[in-house]
Amino acid sequence: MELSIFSALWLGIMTAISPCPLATNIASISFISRKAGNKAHVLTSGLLYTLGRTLVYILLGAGIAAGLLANAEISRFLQKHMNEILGPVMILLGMLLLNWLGKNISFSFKTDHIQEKAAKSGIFLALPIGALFALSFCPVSAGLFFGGLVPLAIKENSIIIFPLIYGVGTALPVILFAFLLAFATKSVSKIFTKLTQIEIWVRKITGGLFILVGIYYTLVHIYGLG
Amino acid sequence: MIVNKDGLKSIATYLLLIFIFVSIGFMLGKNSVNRQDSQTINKNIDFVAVYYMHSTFRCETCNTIETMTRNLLDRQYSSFLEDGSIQWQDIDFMKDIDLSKQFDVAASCVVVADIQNGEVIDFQRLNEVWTLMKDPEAFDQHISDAIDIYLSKEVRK
Repeated sequence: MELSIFSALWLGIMTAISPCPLATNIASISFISRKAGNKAHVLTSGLLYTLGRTLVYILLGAGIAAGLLANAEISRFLQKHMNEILGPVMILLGMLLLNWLGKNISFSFKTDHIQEKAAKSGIFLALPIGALFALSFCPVSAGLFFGGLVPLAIKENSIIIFPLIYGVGTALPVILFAFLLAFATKSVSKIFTKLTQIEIWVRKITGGLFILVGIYYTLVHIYGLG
Repeated sequence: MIVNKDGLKSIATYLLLIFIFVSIGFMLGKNSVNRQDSQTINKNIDFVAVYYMHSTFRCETCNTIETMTRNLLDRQYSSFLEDGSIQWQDIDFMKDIDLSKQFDVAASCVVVADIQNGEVIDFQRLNEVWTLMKDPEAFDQHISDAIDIYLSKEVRK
């Protein structure tokens, strides 16, 4: 059992460090570490991101074990449709982070209100972002989760603990790099004593990254380019 | 004409929103027609089919698994490939829905099937290729074991 738990963690880490979720991982690292001056913010953001990912894996694992979801069907559905949806959603998130929605355009509905809300509750965005990225299975994460983790969890009769450990494993490298980046940003800003300005730039870079990754996902998964 | 910073932001925002709406429209249109019929199998002969089932989006790791499997076949089973006792096919399981349902494929993997008179008599779905790929010897052994079971039946005929 202990060895299997370690396997679940290792499968999660393998998922995170494989090349295929690299684009979303870079976006996550940038998002979690964007408020470098606020340790509590980076920590809470990282924990919420992990929670978002883990919840998705637990729900999927439990649903499959309970027979509510068919392993192969749900895997094919998520691999096909979530990656298609992810691109446009990431572009919108990037525009939200850059304050481009509401300020520069006018809609009949109050986008400035959405923008304000997003800015205030920015930290809580980490949870849905974690969930969204977890649901967007790439071939490696689908192979390791549906082909490796789920059968292992069912065999060990531990359909909550194993997906939980796997989820933590997928988030670990991202959080580690986010902390390193936040620490490095803070150290650099100390030298230049311009933390607020650097944070504004980090936020802009994060928004830009989300848009670029979103365009990449749209071109690859919707238009089949690349 | 001089466009200020806010003007540029507005243009970029509108362009991105147009891109999103067009892409969503394209996605909906594509999904309503995108389906591929099952690969046709020669109904007159019996053979062992080795399928590499992959998703439409090909990642580097998936390509490595395909190459490792194909190299194993070329190295150890070249005569069987030549006489048709073993047949290799790569299939996009997101498009060939019938075959992916038949083999219950959840993710990219290797499937070894025993085909007799065009019918799949038995098959093994090898999901473990993902975890075994770091150990090429174990990877080759795992696939060979699956092939050999069905191949011995072919040879005995």
